Amino acid sequence: MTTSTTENTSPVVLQVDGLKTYFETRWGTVKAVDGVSFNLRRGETLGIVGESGSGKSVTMLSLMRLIPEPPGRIVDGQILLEGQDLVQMTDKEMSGIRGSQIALIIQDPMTSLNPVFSIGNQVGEAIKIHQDIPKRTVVQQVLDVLRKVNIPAAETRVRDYPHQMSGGMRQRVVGAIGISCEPIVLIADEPTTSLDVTIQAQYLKLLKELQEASNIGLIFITHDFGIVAKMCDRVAVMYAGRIVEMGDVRDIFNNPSHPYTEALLASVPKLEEDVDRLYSIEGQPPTLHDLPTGCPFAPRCQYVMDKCQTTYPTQFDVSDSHYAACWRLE
Amino acid sequence: MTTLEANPVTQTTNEVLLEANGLKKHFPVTKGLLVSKVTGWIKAVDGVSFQVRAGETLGIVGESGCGKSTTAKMLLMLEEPTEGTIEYQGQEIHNANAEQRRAYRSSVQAVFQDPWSSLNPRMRVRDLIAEPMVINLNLSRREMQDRVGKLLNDVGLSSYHANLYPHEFSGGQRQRLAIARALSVEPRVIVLDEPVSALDVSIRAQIMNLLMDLQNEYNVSYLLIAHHLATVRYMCDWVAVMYLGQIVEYGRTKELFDNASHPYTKALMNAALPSHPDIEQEEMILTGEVPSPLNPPEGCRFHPRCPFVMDQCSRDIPQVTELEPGHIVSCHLY
Amino acid sequence: MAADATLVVQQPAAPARIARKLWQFRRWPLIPMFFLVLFVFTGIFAPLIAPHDPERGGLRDRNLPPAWEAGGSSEFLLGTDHLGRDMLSRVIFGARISLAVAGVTLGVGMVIGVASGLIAGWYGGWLDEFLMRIVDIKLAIPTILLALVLVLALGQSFLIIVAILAIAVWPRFARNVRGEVLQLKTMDFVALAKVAGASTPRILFIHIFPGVINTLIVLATLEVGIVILLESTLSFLGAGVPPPTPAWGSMVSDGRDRLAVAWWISTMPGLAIMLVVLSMNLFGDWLRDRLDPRLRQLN
Repeated sequence: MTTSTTENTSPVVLQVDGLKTYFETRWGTVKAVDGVSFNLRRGETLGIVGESGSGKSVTMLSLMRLIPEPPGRIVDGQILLEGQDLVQMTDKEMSGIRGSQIALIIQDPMTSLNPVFSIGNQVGEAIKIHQDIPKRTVVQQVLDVLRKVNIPAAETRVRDYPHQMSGGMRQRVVGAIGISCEPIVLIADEPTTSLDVTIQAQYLKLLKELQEASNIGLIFITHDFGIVAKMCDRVAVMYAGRIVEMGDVRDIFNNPSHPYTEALLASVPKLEEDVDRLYSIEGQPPTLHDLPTGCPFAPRCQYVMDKCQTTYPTQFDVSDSHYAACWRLE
Repeated sequence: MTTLEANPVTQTTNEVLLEANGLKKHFPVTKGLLVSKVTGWIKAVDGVSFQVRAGETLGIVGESGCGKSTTAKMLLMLEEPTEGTIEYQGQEIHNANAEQRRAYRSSVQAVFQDPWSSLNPRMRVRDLIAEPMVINLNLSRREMQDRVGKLLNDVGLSSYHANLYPHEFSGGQRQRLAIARALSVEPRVIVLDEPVSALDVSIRAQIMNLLMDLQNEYNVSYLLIAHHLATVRYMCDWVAVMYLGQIVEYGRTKELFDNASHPYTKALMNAALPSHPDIEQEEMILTGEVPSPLNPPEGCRFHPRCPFVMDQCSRDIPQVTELEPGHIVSCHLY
Repeated sequence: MAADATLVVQQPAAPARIARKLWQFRRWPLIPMFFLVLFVFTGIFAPLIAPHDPERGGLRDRNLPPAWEAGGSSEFLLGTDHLGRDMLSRVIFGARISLAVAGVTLGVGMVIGVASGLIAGWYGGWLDEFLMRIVDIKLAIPTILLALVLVLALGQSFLIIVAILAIAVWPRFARNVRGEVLQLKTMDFVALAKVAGASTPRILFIHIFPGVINTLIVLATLEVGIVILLESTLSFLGAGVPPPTPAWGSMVSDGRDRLAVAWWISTMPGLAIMLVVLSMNLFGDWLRDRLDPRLRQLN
């Protein structure tokens, strides 16, 4: 644990380049994601951190090609999953990949499960869509995958309906559906926000074990730096549709180089120590249809300079594995 | 009291404002449509005792279903306790006369979690904030207006906001409005039920700091209901940890966080997310989930999930032990 | 000088402003609203507008066709009925009856419905059970049958018709209001009002009732159509407002046997009924889209 992030040299499975997703609304064009680039290696966990309106969820939806069109549209950029560009795919091609090669676990276990089908049915459905296998094998695979997510007495629970399970169990089923086709990339969108602390700990441990077992590339979409600290190898911090800082998790925590990251970290109370007074970021997260020119964080930034008001900062390297978009680093 | 004064950690001897003693709330489970029969009792809160001291903050932590919100509702007189007493400045309130109950109501106010549900969307900010004053105080229009303006300034908004409707504000601003409303009758105690957990991360510190500033300014006590331990550590002077309707550990914040003694408290702390990737956490992940309060386990209610379970845990209800003055725990280990 | 200056500044913007104003109306249901305004206007000012006395006719002028038909007279634009009464005047006065019946009925039905819905939703328990069972029973009895029996038993008068229709209307209000109250009373602002010490009437009138007004408006517009239809049906069956008062329903009934020789006697009031009810429903649908918060979220 003391070595600074074991150098991950596994092949890159997901590469996102200059992704732009815009929405046409009656207030004008909303640039929800405006030029986002990152990559993800096999077996790596990437955290995408941001508040509401930061674009983290739209990034996730873009990766899954689940942007409602209209009003939304991927305007530019590439999403290369093992070399194939998801942006260029037809809807039909995409639905063959979605769920089988790139899968999603979303935050609300109540709405992501259908209340009128048994859980066995729903997990089986996910398997059948992507694999042409006989019924008996499907049943066997459903049990396997339910056991993988530590559902006790899987043989009897397959017949349960979602309402018969607790929140933690339901979230495990959602996880089971996510991993049922052994995806290469798994995106977890705030998977634990509705769970209690002790259940959350169980679930995070489970996700980590699943990832290590099958060497999945995992993307965590979250607003919580605690989850990042516990789970992630690398972090991308998003603000107003762009990545403002990215680096290895220890770089980010030890040397936050964008004022927003620094302020966020300073504004979170700590369990391990007494803090006299938290740093409080003034103002509100920006509304995307009315962004200031220049750096969108400038109105809330404690280090704001003249230049910040006029020009969006370019990316500056802090180290080999760490960059931030802030004029202070110039 | 002498023991308390002897201890340097618990020097402050602020008067006890609000005291709960053996508070219980059991909800009947009924069957049948027309002639309903009670088939069982959900023991949401089952004998909790604590004190809220003047100008201090008591935090109640626990997971969903532990009874912390029901406890808050009883203090706010939204639920009648099944058993037990709530005393405000030495006066029992549920058997008090109408005048005393009225006085209690304006002394204890609340701020809830969801700032979208807690402000009536059809009322102007002016009327929202003034409502408790309209009901409880006899003020002229002019005085009322001045106080609304002052309250808005105190919570970091401006007096011109008084004419707007709640939907014109962001989540953090709405929570400020809710706080202004709660303060309007100058209560002695405010119940804060998860006041920041519905807000954006960058807004939470604003609201927590605001609450702490207002505590000094208005000399008000808080009862903070939360599930996030770090928030509790930051804001509270005292902490009570609840599990299945009971308080399992209770003490001064510093003492409790430094010397967490009940296995459940330890488990909660280990399950909480670290603030830095290099923080090593003990592997103490609880198995299973919280049992139903309809049939709580015999003996110690935590024993089915407890890593240190002993024979007597499933038989005997643990006694309350005072480890340090003011720090109590109910567990057979002590 | 200052006034001039502002004028100069504003003038170029005026056409744009008017255009913007008009643009806001683009989704308004203009045709239904035109008919409804016409309906209310003629109802209120019937004696001033009607060219003839609706209850008096000359037998010489009976069964005259509308003005545009052969044999029609420009004196009777829509023709005359079998007693020589002017159809146009009768339709105009019929609007008055329909308007009065619909207005009074809705008023009464709404008050009863809202009161019982508020009580049932707020207090719950046996009171709720009791009120909602009455609603169920009411909704299970065919309104027309009930009305005919009541008219036979109590006689025919304006008041009795209004009472019968109010009975027909209130359960829907009660049920919808109750549903809204059940939802509203779980809102935190209601709990906070209790914490502030608000009395039950205060909570009901300041916090709950304003929340159901939108639903009430929408429901009322949709119910107007139903009430007018019911009233016409009753009149058609001879159990409505007693003759010779010109109600649209009884006018349709009058012309029923003469369709072959004088189609206009039934058709003119029938058209009036259709136009008003259709307009009301279209307008109600539009209002619902605008005001119902659940639908608004979908957009």
